[in-house]
Amino acid sequence: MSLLRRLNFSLIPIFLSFFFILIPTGLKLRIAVWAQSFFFFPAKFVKREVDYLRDLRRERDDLEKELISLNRQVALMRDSLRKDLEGEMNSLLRAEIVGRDHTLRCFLIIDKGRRDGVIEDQTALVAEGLVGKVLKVGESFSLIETFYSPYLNIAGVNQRTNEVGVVRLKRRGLKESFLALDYFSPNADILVGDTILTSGQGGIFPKGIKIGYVKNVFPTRDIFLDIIIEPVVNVLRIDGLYLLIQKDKGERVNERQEMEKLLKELELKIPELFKMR
Amino acid sequence: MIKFLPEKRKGQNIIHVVASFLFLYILWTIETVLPSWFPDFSLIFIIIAALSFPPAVASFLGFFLGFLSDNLSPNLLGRYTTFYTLLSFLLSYFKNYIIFSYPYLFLLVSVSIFLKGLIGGFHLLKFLLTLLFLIPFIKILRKWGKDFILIR
Repeated sequence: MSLLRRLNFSLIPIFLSFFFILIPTGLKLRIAVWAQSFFFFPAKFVKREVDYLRDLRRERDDLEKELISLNRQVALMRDSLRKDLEGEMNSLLRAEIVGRDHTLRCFLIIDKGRRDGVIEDQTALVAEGLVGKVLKVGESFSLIETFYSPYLNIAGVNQRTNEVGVVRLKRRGLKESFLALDYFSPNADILVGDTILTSGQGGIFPKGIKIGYVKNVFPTRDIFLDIIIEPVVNVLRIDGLYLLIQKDKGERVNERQEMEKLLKELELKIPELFKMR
Repeated sequence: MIKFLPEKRKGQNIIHVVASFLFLYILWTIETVLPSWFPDFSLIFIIIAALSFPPAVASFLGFFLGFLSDNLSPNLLGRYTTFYTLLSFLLSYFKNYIIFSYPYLFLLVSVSIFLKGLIGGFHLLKFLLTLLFLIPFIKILRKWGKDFILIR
């Protein structure tokens, strides 16, 4: 009896728990419904909020992707509109990249060829800026030579000062190579962050397409400055590009070739002209 | 060696009891929301509370936790209530015969989880994680909850 008296409070929950086991299922469910509505409220609330936050996060990610895609579309449309306004003779042809060399980043293969109206030396670009030019044209595919190619020289101009140079790949040692703006004299006015555009000289690339920004200018004892350019287009990240179709490009190329031939003939004749003097 | 002897401080015992009930409820809520492999901190807490409080309070705490756990499967109402009530009551009643050290606690928790597994099913990862987090959990309780949970 003394033990029972000592344990009187302890025995209440023990008897209650046995009582719960013995009561019929209907009553158990009724008790559980009441208890759940009371005790489960914080857990349900937290779970609901966590689910809500997870949904919001997923929605944010989706919207972000959509925004990027829309921004890209807007940029492309703006670019296309600008090109159209600049000259009605020019139009863009969309091409998907179906192959590339990942190591040197020099060449891309696109899914458009002669039958789509692609010809050699056409300009390849994206919304951000210049990619390169068409090197070789097949019936259905073409080869694009990017600005990373050591054989491609692009006439560039500093947007701020209008000074002209040549953008080309330079090598330093065996492994390191970078895009450089060449033929700038040491006293040229060039600053880090200046925008480099195509100058339109040379006849291949039209004027005003963005190539990149000046990343570094190194003082040198040579006759030209060492200017490193950060290209605006990441060649490895693009999955498609636009070809600039100029309706009179063929005629212009022919004309240019004729002019070059004439220039060479004149150069050959220069010694004769000296002799004449 | 850890001491779970109750300190008799007048006017504070009721606060200890209320705080323990609240803490137990919070622990159970967290465990309900999180995945099933989450360590069984409420079981560890009920063991520590049983070793700290007198049998009456310990059995009420066990009853409370058991009742909460039973509500997750209402048609079997009473199984966890009985288990936790008896466990906490017995531990509290026989606490003077138990040496309170980490190896004994490991054994106590392991046996309790095994008995609980007999009732509601075994979960190996939960068992391992509970044993893994046993010492850190007790250390946190000793550091932050010593004024409420009566651990010295």
